[in-house]
Amino acid sequence: MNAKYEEEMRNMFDIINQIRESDYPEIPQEFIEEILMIERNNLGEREKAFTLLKSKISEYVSNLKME
Amino acid sequence: MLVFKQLTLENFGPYFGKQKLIFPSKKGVIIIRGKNGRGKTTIMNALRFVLFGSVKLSGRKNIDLVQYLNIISKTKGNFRYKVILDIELDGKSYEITRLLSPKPGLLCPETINDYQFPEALIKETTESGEQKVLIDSEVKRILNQIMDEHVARFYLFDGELLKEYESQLMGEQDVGAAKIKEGIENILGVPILKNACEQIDVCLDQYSRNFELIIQSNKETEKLGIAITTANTKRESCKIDVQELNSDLSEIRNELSQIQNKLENSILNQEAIKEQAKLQKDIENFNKKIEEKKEQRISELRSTWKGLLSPILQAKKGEINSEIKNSNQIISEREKREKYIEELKTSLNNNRCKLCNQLLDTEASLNLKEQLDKCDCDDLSDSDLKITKDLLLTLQNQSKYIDDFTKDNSTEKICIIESEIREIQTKLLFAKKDLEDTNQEVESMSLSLSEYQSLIDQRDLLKKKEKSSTDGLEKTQKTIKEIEENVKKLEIQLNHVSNDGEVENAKRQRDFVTQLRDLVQNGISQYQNDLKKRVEIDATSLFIKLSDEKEYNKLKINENYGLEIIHKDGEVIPLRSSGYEHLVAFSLIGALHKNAPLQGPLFMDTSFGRLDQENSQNLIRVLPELSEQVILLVHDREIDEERIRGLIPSAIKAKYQIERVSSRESKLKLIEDNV
Repeated sequence: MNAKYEEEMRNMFDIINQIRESDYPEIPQEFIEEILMIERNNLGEREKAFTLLKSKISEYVSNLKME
Repeated sequence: MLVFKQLTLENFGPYFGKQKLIFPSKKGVIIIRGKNGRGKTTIMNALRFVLFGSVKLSGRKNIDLVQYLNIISKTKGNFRYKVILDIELDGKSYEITRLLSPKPGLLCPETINDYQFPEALIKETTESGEQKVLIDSEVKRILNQIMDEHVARFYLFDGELLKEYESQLMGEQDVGAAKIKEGIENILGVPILKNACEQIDVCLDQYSRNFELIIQSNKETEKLGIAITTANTKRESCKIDVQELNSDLSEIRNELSQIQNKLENSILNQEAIKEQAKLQKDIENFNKKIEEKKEQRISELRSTWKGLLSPILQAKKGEINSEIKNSNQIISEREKREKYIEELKTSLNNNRCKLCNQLLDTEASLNLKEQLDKCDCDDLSDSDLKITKDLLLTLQNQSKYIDDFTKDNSTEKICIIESEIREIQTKLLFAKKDLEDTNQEVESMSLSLSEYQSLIDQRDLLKKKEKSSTDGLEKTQKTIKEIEENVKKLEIQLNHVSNDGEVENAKRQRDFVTQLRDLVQNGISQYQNDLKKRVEIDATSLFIKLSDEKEYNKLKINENYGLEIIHKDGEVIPLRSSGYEHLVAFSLIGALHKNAPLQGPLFMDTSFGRLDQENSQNLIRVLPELSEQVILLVHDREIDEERIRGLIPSAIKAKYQIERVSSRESKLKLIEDNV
């Protein structure tokens, strides 16, 4: 991916992270970034993106259960 | 970075056989010049075909792909055409091929149903030189990465599309504005967040359902669980209604947009018909004037020989004038003397001086008599005077004749007539070209009165449907909110009733996913606002460079990425000229390109039409800033090439001419390569 794209992604992550810090501190930064990376890397393949995203969320909420 | 390397057309549109367009690898502008109807727009459509498998022009319906089969190829029994696009994307090379060919066993296909769906084939070459043919899912991914169909309009645009932005981006309620907004957000990377939000929403449904099942399976919470499930089921049903209504609205608005386009074209058609009539009349007048001037020239040629005698006659006229002067002098002197004699005679008869009225003495009388005798002796005879007067008359006639003869310098006149004929012929030529363009325009937009009325009826009906769907949508969304409020209340009750760990855990999981969804949802609106600000700043900076009006201070963006011009006194400019609409649209496109994650080539088809000389020059100056590869498709009279060369001398990397072979065939010819 080109530098411009990376810059735009960083910008998007920064915005999300600011909202997260102020309104949703329970959600870890790495987790939301991983979710967005799944979408970014599979932009043309929504089914694949959904499978990966579902598995990521499931893995995280299972750990919530453990707590 | 996306770079186009080569486009190959085979029997596509007017391009018979194989024709290649090689895009220079260096940053700059490529000019493709051709007259109307030669195949400039076909190049854009070939790109749309190879990338998307369809040709959809700026929100209008798909064009029947069979229409692009070259007629010569068809008459020779070849019913296939092919477009190959070679590109480079982030260090890898791709060869994309799309072919339209008849279904197996069909020798003479007629309609699009007789053809196979034109799937794309992609060959990938990595930096190390490894080659592979991509499988279906990879093809989809690469095509999406290269240029999403919704985004393509910002890379492949024409004057028509600019007009569409101008009319649709101005108001929030305009038909199609939402589509443009969606297209803009697609180019700017919002889909990542939107996709995430939609998918998390689906996950949330699953976690919500799981939570409900667990509550229902617990005896203490069973009743509340059923109530929550019932409410949620109702909410889901409402959500489906919202989806359907949105889909209906989208279809209605799409249809409305197409009808509006047709109606606008029809209005334009009326103008084109008027223009056609005016041009026909102009041509008639020019032809008539040329005939008149030719007649005038023939008439002038009849007396051209007179010009040869002019120097001799002018010399003769000099002699005659000198003789006229002499004769006039003789006659004048005779008249003076006659008057003097008369005075002398009167004085002698009255014995009193006529001048001083004193009595004459003898000496004075004698003196006067002497003078009278002398005058009588000197006097010209009456016969001589008559001869002199006759001579004078003859000389005057001769002089006048020479004047008449030489006064019309026909050689000079013929030169003037020749120049006038040339001037009218030039005007005639331009009028004929304009008429040719207008005829094509009229033909393409032709609409009968009944068709026009039918479109008006359809539009009114669709507007009613749009209103009813919007009302339905509003009502359903209100119901969803009410249900959600109710569910919240039920869940508060649940907290009081249940102490079960499983219930709590399911609730925690669901709440976490809810928060996740809300976070992304909030992120979308904040990111959109951030994008808008950036687009506004960059569009303003470009607009200042493009506009020659120094009092225009900035552009202000609205909800739908529409842009308003702000005067330096802070007021919005209410009525913008069509040229300025064009500049605003260019500013928006430039700003979108600057902010888009995908940096790619920019194709501009016949985009200078409505700009005056100064604004065209400003646009040419900023072209290299818009994209690393700018491909200009221009017609002969649209823009002066020397002007482009003068303004951005080192930016022009290649020049192609679309040459006419026949009405059914054009050829692409590279005439300049500066790389």
